[in-house]
Amino acid sequence: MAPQVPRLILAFATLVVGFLAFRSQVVPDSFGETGFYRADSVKEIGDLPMKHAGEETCATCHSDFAEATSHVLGGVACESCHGPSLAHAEDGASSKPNRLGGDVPCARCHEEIAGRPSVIPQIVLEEHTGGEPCQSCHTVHEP
Amino acid sequence: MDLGMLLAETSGYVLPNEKELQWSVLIVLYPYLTGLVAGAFILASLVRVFNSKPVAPVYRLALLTALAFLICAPMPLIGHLGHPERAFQIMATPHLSSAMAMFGFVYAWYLMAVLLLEIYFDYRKEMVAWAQSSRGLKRLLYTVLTLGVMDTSEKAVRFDDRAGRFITIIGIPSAALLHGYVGFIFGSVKGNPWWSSVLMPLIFLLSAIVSGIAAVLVIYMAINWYRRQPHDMKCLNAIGRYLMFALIFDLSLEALDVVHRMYEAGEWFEILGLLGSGYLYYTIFGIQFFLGGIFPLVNLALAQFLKASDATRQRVYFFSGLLVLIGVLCMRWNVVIGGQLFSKSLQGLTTYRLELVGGEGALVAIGVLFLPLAILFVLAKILPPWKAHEEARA
Repeated sequence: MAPQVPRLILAFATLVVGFLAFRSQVVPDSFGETGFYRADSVKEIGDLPMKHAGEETCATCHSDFAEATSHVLGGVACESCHGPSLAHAEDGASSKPNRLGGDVPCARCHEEIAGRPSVIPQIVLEEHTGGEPCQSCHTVHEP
Repeated sequence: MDLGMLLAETSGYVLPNEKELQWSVLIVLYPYLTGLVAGAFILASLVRVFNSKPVAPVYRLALLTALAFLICAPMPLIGHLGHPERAFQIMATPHLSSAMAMFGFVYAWYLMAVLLLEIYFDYRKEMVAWAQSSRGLKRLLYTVLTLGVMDTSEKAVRFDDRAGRFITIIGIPSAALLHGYVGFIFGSVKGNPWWSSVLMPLIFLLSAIVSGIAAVLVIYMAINWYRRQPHDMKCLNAIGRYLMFALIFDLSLEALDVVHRMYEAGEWFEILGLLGSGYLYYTIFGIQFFLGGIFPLVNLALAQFLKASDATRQRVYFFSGLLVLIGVLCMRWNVVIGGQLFSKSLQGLTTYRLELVGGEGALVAIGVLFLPLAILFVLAKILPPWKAHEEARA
């Protein structure tokens, strides 16, 4: 065997072993257990503090708004407009959900975009409101 | 850039996520650099495998050029992604169904199993001599580069030669794979009619060969001028001839692609026509086809068939090489940037503003483009590519 061959094999073997050793250090243990991601991340994300209460929780106290308003029947959850409200659900006095004002939360769904499904009523905000807040003409829960 | 400025630079109907281009000038450079690698290597293989003796003076230079550009090839990608500390993940946890993830292995194969091995076998005998005739760090460097194999017996040298030839034979399909893959990345995007074509890998490969030959030609002449050495006219004539033939194939294939698209004339044809006659008019027809294609082709043909003086031929070769390099860079630009300038709605166009500074600006791109030349300068200092040939000539 030519003398170059064993040296080259040794050099490549060193590279491969070095790479495998490096890989064993940097790839997390749970990588690939349940898919192409770090399985532990599911538990870590699950352990993050919750912020949303869910509309059933809102309905326990605010049944007057949570039942049969057109927004709710249309599938819009309370916290879509009022923001994360778990802290309010746990202690109603110390934390209040966002009260709606101006046109920002309305425009999020009702500003005209060509790609938006046509079942959602849409307006060009500047032309439609003339600078007035939406609530001047519309009631928020039954617009 | 704010929304108002973006809107001012679009026309027709453009979807919100299409207003600003996601792939910048750095992604233009990536296929350009890998193309230069593949092309330079294929020029070197003409000597080793196809025994083209006139090109022998640039054999080693072509290998070192390929290595210098290959070292820089991932830089635009890493620069574009913006998280160099995560770049190893593509190798550590590769997703086998991702063509982009597979690039890491194609790259590693080409770097280590082809280029480094071929350079090792080709230079080993001389590296042993340089190690024995030098002292200190230089001696250590050359000894390490030989991997400590100091045997220069006839048998060992013959093995170097045979192994080098074998690796070049493996290297040709590897070079084709390296750059064909880049064309595949674009050609396989079904949703983009500017890219989606089975001809794309072939077009990329042919233009890579053209640009690699041109790059070695220009670098060889520039080095000779720098070192005040005469050009080997037999070598220049041979490279000029290869460049001419490669250009003919490349332009024919690109023309075939254009004719194919015109005949097919799908629902995308109108918007692509607007793109070609508008934003990309000068870079496609002015630079890519005319200045970087037809014009150098005619000049190279005239230099071959007319009895021009050596000085005239040298000028023709040098400037044709430069124009071809610019033309192929524009081809990459037209593909990468052009493919993002029209809306998926086929009803609107946007524009690309190349900024001067910033992570993906023109200055960074120029730096990435010229860095391989600095690396080549260092490589040529360590492994002079002209020594063996000049000694043989003397």
